[in-house]
Amino acid sequence: MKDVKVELKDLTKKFKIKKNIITAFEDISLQIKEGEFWCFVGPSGCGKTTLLRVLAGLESPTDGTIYIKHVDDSKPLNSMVFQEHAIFPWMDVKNNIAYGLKMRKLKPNLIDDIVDFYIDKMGLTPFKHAYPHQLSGGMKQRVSIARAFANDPEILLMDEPFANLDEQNRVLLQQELLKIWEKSGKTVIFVTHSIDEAIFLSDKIMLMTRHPGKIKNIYDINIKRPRVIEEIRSSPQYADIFQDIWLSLRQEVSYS
Amino acid sequence: MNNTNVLKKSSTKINEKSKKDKKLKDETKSNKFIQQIISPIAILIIWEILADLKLIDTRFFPAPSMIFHSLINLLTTGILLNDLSVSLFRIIGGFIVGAVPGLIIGLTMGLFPIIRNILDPIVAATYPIPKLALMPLIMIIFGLNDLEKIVVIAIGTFFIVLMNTAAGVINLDKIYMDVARNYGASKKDYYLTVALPGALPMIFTGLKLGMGMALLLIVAAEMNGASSGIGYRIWESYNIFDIPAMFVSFIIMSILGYVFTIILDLIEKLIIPWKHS
Repeated sequence: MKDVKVELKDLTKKFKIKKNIITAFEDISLQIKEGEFWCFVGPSGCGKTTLLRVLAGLESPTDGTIYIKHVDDSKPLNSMVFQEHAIFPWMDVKNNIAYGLKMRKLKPNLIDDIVDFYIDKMGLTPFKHAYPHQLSGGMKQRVSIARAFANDPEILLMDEPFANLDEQNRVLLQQELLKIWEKSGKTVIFVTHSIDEAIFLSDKIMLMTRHPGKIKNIYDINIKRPRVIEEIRSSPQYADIFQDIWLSLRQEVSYS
Repeated sequence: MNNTNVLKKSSTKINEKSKKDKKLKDETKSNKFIQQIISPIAILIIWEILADLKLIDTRFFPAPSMIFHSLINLLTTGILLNDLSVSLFRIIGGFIVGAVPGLIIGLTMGLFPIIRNILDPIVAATYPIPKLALMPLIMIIFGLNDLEKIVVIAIGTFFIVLMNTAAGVINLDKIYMDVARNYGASKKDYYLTVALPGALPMIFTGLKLGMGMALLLIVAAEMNGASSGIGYRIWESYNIFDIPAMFVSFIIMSILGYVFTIILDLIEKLIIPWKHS
């Protein structure tokens, strides 16, 4: 039995906007085990991104507790791959990927080694010294992913990283993400609105209700790994899960 | 073997193509240059003809040849170079004295909301006062000398650089702050790796506007209580009714503005290589 890596208990987040109190999500309780790949899926506005931001420590919860097991003190607790193109326009690819490592004041030659490793792994070698405005959207997100992996966090948080990519690039990057993740054994929490993406990537899917987000259901995705997109899309197992999740999600979407 | 041949072939093809592209580019470039130079030359020729035919009043619009003659005269007597160096000293001095604190205070206001809240009313209240309105007071305080002129220019430059720098920091996409926080940047790291580089494009906009302001103010400042400088020369030309010399000063101002723009553009390209061209 694998160790529990992340445990959320009755996690609730409320915002005060003017005089109204708005609940982003409430009573989220779940356990994520070491090395699991989770996707949070839900209708837009259900608070899934806010939940991820709370997990990242960018916002504090109104209620409830977050426990993340910190095994190695020298590693950061989490690193996030952000929604939009959140790589710094003023740094080249190399310095963008090195950012977390530099902030942690690692030795320069160690940083170089790690950065070179992920530049190579993400196929960015020809763009090592390019600036973001010279890169395509897909390349930018590769940099963003490399930056997070290079930082070697206890858990990886991903906020709809592929939402703005075209279909071909999205599939390509999903596949590469799985490849790099399978070797790393990291615990991943991935927020998406795409059921398709969630099934392809994850071990578990948490489906959220419409606003204010609660847990609607948790699905086990027991499709064997390594996964290949064309095999998965044509498997009956995929169709069943998709149907299940879609029917459940459709209720939420059509309410709103 | 075969493969490398094919590769070589295609690479020479690419080379040829890029050569062709370059040729095409050069051609459009020279075409553009010819097109752009037509109108100034045409105006000068027409102006000269009109002046020669006495169709325009040459007392107010001296012929280009007369202006050129005056230019040579001012150059050989050394008056022009002296004016130029005196004005340049005041412009650059005032620009630096104004831009550096403007940059520092602007950055501080952008980064710290408390300081912004404290200083904002002062800036908002003093900024709209035309800098020229302050000139008499500055003259009383500093006397009629280089320092007074530098102060006038500095005040004008200061506000523009300050406001653009502060806006550059404040309007930075919030997501960069999230990234910095998530990746463990300290406050100091955030300033140096995110706020400052992120604000650079706006800072340069401020510097360019500040330079424009400096050129505007130098002329006004030198029209009062100066004995040399381009602004003084314009006023002096008025007093002795030497209109060709006045036109020479206009030309010098135009060239100054152009050269400063080129220099600032060049520095910008060096410091902000990541900006879209």
